[in-house]
Amino acid sequence: MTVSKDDVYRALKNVLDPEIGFNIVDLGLVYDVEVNDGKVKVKMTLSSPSCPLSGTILSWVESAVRNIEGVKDVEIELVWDPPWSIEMASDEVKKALGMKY
Amino acid sequence: MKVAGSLATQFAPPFSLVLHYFIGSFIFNLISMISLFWYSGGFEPPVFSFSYAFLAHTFLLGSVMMTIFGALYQLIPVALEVPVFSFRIAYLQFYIYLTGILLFIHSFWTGNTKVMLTGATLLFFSFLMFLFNFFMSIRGLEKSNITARFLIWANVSLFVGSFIGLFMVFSFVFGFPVQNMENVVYAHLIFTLFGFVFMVIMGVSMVLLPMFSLSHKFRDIYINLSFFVMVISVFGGGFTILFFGNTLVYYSIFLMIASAVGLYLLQVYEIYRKRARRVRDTGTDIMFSSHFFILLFILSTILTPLSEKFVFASAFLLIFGFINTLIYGSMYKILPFLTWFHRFSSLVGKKKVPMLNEMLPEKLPLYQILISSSGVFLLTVCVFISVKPVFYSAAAFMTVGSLVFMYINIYVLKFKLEE
Repeated sequence: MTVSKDDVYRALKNVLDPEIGFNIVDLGLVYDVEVNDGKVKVKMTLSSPSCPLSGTILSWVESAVRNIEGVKDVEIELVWDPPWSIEMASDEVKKALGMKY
Repeated sequence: MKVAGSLATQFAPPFSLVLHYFIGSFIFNLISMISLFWYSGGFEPPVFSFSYAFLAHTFLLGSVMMTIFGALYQLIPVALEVPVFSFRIAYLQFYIYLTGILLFIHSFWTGNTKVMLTGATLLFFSFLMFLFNFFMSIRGLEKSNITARFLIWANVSLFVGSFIGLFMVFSFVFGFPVQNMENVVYAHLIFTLFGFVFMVIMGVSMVLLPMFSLSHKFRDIYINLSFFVMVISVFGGGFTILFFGNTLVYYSIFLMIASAVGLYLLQVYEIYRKRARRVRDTGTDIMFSSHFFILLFILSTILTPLSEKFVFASAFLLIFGFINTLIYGSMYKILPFLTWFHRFSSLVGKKKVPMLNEMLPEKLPLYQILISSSGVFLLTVCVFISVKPVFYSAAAFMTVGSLVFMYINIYVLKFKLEE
């Protein structure tokens, strides 16, 4: 079975940040997804470099992607540049956090 | 899984280690508040007496520093991205520290200087263990940020301050000639309270406040200036007071410290202004609002030449107002996270797990802060008007606040998934 980018994004929408209460895709933490012959590379960041849940969230990302049928390998690239900001989040998240946008 | 990038959580301490310190802190917090009832006669100079030392050390050593040690063992890996050198030392430190506190505050209560000597020696030894653990941990520190700089100077200050404290106890017991004991007490106060406690708070706040409030793109000029002024005030001022202290020197140094604290306050406001999370989040809101007490503390400090009673007012506003409220707010963020991480993180994807804010009883933390803060305001009023019913109300508010705080933390620790 061929894995698509949409499949990966859909799976990543199940990974929630328990502190903020939103999934990492709507929060804008996922910068890019590459799929190449069943090998998936996720380029992402976290809301803070000091996020105490960093290791846990990354293991959830791996688990969510690996559960997609057809995925052979997962690579996660955790980057801090560009740094995450609320502008990267979806309108729904901004509204829920009380932002004026 | 292949991961490229930095990870902070692989060095997390055992849950039980942090709980040792936090539970100890909750109990001493309650003891401190209950002990307020014994001061119903009012707060009269001299400020430096065994009676007030009992209250100050029960609260600062028992509640505040116990929280700080527990939190630092959790936060060193998170904030500095280095593993704690030894958790065994951290466990051992707890028991030596606890024994030291119990003996030390007992000696203030009874006036037994031999017990005081044993307690102080154990406390000093426990501090040395912490300092050894801390400095061994940061050997591998790769990037020095403002938090790291604050923590390093705070720990140097802890060494100096606790050494002066131990020297004071030795002089009580063995009758060392001390030219001016008041200078030594002030120096001890500056190095431990402002040098250690306050610098740890300032450094750690620069990690926690932006993280909890999702604050980004804020200027950090105020905290960098604050760091500079604070280090000069504590180390320059502390040693100056030790050798050349007089009323004018005390006042000048405390004003310098108040300036550093004021700059820190501006930084907190800058973070608050740039926060993305604007919906109500009780723990974070309490952490930010605790800083209002600093404004009152600065005002009261400026007024100390008018009356020694302002020294009491400043102390209450700072330690029971600001520090205690900040601890309450921080705990409403940290404890649910630790409990969640320990108990529910492995269930993600298998069961419906709670969000962190769902682990706190609704509205109760807010009521708890209102009760405790009312107590602080009444207590400060009692410094100036010695009216017993008002005093008892203040002590009762603060005791009830501490009890409710303890209840909320037990609620979090016992939180279970709905079947």
